[in-house]
Amino acid sequence: MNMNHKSYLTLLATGTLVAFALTGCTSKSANPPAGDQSKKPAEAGNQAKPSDTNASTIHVAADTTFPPFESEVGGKVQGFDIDMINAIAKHANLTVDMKTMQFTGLIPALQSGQVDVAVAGITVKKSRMAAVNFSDAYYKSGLSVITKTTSSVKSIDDLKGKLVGTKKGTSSVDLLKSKGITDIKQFDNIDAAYSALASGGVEAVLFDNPVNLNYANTNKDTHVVGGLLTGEYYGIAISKNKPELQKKINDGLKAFQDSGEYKQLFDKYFGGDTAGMVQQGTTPESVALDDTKK
Amino acid sequence: MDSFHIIMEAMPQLLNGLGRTVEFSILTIILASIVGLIAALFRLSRSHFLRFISWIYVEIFRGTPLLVQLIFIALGLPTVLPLNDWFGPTLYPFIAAAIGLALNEGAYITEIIRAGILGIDRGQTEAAESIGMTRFQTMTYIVLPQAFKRMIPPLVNQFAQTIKDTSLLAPIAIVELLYTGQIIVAENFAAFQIYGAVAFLYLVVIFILTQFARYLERRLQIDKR
Repeated sequence: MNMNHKSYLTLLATGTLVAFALTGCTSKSANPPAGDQSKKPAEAGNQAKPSDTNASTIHVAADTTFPPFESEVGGKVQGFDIDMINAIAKHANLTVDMKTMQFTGLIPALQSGQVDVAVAGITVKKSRMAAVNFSDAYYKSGLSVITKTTSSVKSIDDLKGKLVGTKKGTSSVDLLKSKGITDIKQFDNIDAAYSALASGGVEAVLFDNPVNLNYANTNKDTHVVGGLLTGEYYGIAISKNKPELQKKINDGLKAFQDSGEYKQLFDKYFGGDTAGMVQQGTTPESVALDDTKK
Repeated sequence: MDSFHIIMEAMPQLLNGLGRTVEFSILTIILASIVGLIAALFRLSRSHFLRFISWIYVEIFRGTPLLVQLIFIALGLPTVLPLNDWFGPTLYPFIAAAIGLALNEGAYITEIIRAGILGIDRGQTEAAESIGMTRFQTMTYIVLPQAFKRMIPPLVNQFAQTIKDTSLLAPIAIVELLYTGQIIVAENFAAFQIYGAVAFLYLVVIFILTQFARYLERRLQIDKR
């Protein structure tokens, strides 16, 4: 019976482990992994071809549950954001190494240096600008409410007291909270919110309008109500560890907008609807949502 | 703001999530123990049918990932059955979560209980039957009390696993500890501090459980036997 002796050992082991974890994590951010993450073979086809051998590689993270900006069809990452970042990289003489992760993991991954750049229809917000750098805005979006055509909900004001679904940690959550709506179900992916909508798990979904429209187009028993609720702008998030990358990406973005490829992507993904088109050189500071006040 | 204050500021919200985690853990441990005991007795019964039911149950729930089961029950089933209408969209996810967790953990507990019962010497049963005890009496007064003591260590192991498995409720939008942490990180991006605090809170809860189990083992003096 050496219980006491044993419990000291347990404590010691726990302490050692915690200390280990602490040191391990701090040193990790110092040297970002150079492509040690296993790359999906399917994504290889999406990478921009290096136009010269000295081109440096940027590690790009995307969240592929955001059609038409990003989605994964048949194991292939595709969408507006993907085509855009590849085009920008080509103009800026960079090579893209693409990986996918959940939306809530994007900014922590940028902070830890696991990736350099994230494209995921990320709304430029003040709180996010404290954590990462943003490129100039590339798409003007907004939030909207989608619901069943049979529902009594006609606008966001009808949502009080009803269950509303959205995606975890997005700007939609901020808007719902500011409207005093507390019954928010935050899912990891917007697909889960839509399937909850389809099965009656939520009364409505509040999310980025282009994605809502995309869903309503393929699911005729749903419709978008109440129009655009906010004006918000998407930017490319860039790690603060790589400040030089912000200028390179911005220059690439300008060249991409100049070349007409920008317009082509609107034709390809939005049927020529250019409502989301943004003026060249729209700085993140000028369009950031102020979400810092509580 | 330094790490300590970041964690302290998030603590009330995290403790709220922890409360939900503890509730689900306790509920699951109780339900899974009941399910596990019934399924284990089915498995050891003389009826072919009951043995078959129990076998199928264990194979299905042990053979598929818990996360898949939870997503299937919470998000898949309501697309073919009007479960959200029957139970209400607020209540159904909780029912789905409780059922999913209880059935999954119950499958493992079935095997633990079965092993515990089989580990009791046949002589005990024979002796009980020789003094005229029924099968039911033999099980309740002779076999199970002895088997229970032997089952404590593997059961505690499984209960600790159950507490950790409640973190798989986060993807189906149940506001437990991990979900709460994800929400906070989405606002303050302090992934290191918040997820560190989340991990620590799980550790505390499981430490309390294991210490209670140690106390229980000492009271029952298992190692003296």
